Amino acid sequence: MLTAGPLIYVLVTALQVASITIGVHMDAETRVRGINLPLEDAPGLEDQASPRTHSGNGYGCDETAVDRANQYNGRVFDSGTGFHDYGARMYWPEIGRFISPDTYQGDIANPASLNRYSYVLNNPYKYTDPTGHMAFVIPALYVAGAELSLWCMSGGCQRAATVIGALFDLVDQAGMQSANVPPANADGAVPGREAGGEAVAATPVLMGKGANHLQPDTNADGAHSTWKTDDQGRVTGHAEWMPNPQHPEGFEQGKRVDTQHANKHTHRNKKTGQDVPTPHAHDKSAPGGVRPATKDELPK
Amino acid sequence: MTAHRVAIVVDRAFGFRLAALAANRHVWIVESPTNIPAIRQVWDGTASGDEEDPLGPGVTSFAAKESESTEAMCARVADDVAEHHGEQGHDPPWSELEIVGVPLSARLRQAFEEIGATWVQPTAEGFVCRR
Repeated sequence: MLTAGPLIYVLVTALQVASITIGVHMDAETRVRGINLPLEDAPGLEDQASPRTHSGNGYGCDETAVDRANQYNGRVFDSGTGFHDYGARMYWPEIGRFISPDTYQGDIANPASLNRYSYVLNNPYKYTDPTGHMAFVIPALYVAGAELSLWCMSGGCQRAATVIGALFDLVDQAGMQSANVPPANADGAVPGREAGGEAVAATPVLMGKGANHLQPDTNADGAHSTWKTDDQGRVTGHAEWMPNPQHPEGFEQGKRVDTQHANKHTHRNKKTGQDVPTPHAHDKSAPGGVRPATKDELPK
Repeated sequence: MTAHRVAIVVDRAFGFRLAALAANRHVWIVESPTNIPAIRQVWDGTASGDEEDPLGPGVTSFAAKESESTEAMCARVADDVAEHHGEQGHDPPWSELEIVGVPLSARLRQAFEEIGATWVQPTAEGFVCRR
C-alpha cells in the first residue's frame, strides 16, 4: 500500500526536475520561538538552532539501525561531522535541525515555516525537502491533485484521498486561498453584506499578519516563552505562556513585554495614575495591568 | 460575548473630540501638538483608582514616524492593536475597530483583513471594521 510520504516525495521530486517549482519568499518581520530560554538567547536567529529548543532527529529514523551513509531522502550521512548533506545546507539529525538557515525565509501565513532551521515544517510525515530548501510546487500540486483524484475514482490507491488532502493543505498553507470568496467563520457562518457594509474575505485566527503576533508554541509541554523580532533581528516583544486547557490553543498569555524596539506607544495605568511608555510589560499581576519593563525583561 | 470596541485615530488634528470617543472604547491616537493636550485631559480625568484593565475604555497614544503617511501609520498601528486587543492579548478580543483620519484603501482593507476583520464600512472620517 502506498503511503502519503513517499508519494508526495515522488511528486515533488518529479515536478522539481520539470523545473516548475516556485519558491515562496517573504521578507517581512520574522517570528522566532523558543522554550524556557533566557531572553539574552533570543536576539540572533543563529541561536535558534539551539538543542535546547527541540530534541529528536526530526523524522523518526533510528540512526543506529539503518545504513548511516545513505539515509532519508537518499542524502549522504557524513560520519565525520554527524550531518546529512542536503546540498544547500547540512542537517544535524541529533537536534532535528539544519545547522544554517534556509534561504527561503518562510511564509508569514504559516508560522511553522518561519523557523528557517526546522525540517519540513516539523511534519516529515506530510512533507519532504529533498534539496534543503523549502520549495513549494503550488500550481503543479493542484494539477497533480486533480489527476490523483481521477486515479482514485477509477479504483486506484485507497490512500489517494489522503494524499490529495495533504496536497491541498500545502496550497492552503501557502496562502493561495481565494480572496474573492468569503470563507466560513469558525462557527460555520459565511460572513455576508450587512446594512451597507462590505464583507471582506474572513481570515481565520492565526492566519495572515496575525500569525506574526506573539503566539504560544502549541508543541510546548508546559509554561514557556516566545518572542518576535523585527526585520533587523531585534526583539520587539516577548511573552510568557501558561498551560490552560480551556484556551483553544492550550495556553494563555501571562506576561507580555513590548520592548524598546517595539513601535513607541504609551498606555495609562488607571490604577496608579502612571503614564507607561514603551518599553513596558502587560502584567496581570501588576496593579493596573501594565508597568514599566524591568532591565532584565529587555534585550541587550 | 461582551463587545470590545477599539478606535484608531491617525488624524493629527483630532483634538478634544477624543474624550467623547474614548468614553466607551479604547482609542489609539497619534501624538501631535493638537492631540497631546486632549490625551492628557482624558488621562487625567479617568483615573478611577480601581481599574485593572489598561485596555478598557480610555486612551493609548502612539508616536508618528517621520514622513509617514496616515495610511502607512494606520497599517502599522493595526498590528499593534491586534497584538494588544486580539485573542491572546485581551479578553474579550476586539469586535469592532473604528478608524478615524484615513479613508479605506486596498492596502488598509488587506491590513485589517489580515488581523481578522470580516466586514468593513466606510464612514465620513474613515471606516469601521467588525468581525
